[in-house]
Amino acid sequence: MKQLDLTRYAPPGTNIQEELKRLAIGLAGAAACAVLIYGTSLRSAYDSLFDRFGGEWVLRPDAVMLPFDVILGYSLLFIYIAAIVALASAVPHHISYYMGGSKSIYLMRRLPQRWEWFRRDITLPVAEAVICLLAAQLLKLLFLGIYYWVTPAQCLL
Amino acid sequence: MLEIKNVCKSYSLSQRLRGTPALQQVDLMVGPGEIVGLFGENGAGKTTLMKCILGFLRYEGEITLDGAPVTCRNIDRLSFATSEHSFFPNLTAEMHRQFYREHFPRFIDKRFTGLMDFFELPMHKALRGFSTGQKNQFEVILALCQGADYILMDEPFAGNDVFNRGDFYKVLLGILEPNETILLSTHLIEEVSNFISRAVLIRKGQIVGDVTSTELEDRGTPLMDYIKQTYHYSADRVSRALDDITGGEG
Repeated sequence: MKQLDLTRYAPPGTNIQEELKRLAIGLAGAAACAVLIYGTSLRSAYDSLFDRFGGEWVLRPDAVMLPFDVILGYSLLFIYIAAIVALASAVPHHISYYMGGSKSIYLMRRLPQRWEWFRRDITLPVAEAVICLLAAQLLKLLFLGIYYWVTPAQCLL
Repeated sequence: MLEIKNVCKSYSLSQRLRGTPALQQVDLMVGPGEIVGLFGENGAGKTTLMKCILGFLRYEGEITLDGAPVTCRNIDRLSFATSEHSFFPNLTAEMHRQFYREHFPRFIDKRFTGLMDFFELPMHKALRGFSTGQKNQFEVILALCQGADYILMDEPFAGNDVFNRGDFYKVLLGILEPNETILLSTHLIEEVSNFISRAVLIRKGQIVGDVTSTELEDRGTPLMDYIKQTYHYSADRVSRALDDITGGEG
């Protein structure tokens, strides 16, 4: 299989590995926050289904689990923030790259391929933002699976 | 033919209001094969004119290449070497060659290899590790090898030693094809006087002199004298200033 050459989608000479590393760290941190927030919220909702008699937890007969969306709440917010940060920081970083150490902007603006400069500036940041959004949807699916797995069937609306 | 018709450029509203634009009503025609020296003091408008030609700046007036405005369709007919440098500092010379080959189909590979060898520049070292002189050399090499018909150079040799510059002029004269045109902005007037075929003088954004080397030869006027005459340069300016400062003690 032909390997994707990422250098063609970024300003020539930028440190793509470093950029991807920053994205991975940011995304991992945002995902950890999401898991923590959702886990806490799910645990609290799950506990409210039970009454405690003596040392034993007993499921209330009329107990109804909170809807998934309510429990999910803002747990994915940090991942959406990561997507916005990826766009808002990487695009200016790429644009300013052409002014650092030389004025390679002059070369980029002289290219016969009119969109080359634009393409190299925005492709990676947009891809990073899309990866964040996809990760958010994957996490949402995972959280939904966990929601149905842990919630007693009679408590589901 | 590169035609510049009635080009005006103001960087700010105040420049426009004061009537001191960076360029005012510049008219210039540069034909194939000419080597034009563009001379003027700092701030005269040399760099601004080049940036207007390349489309980096908005301007009033008209700039055309063989009758067509400069757009992405014909921009590859222009190349640019600047003392600010326009290469990518993190890439090696070899990587630049690949980049240029990809984006400029008329890239002259043989000339690139020959010039890199002549100036003994490393092919596999990032440009940020080059000396200032080497960076200048590489900047000019890229401009010469792009395959452009019109090669614009803005103070390309600032920081190079005199031997190096001399080598470059000789090499340039040796390698240029008859249709290749050079527009060279520099302060090194005497050095390039034997190299250029035409001198254009710019002052306060206006073309104040335009003469061919042949015309100067016929008149028996050295280029430097022509420039001094055109600028009304007063030869005793320094001694008068010193007299004023020292009270005529000297």
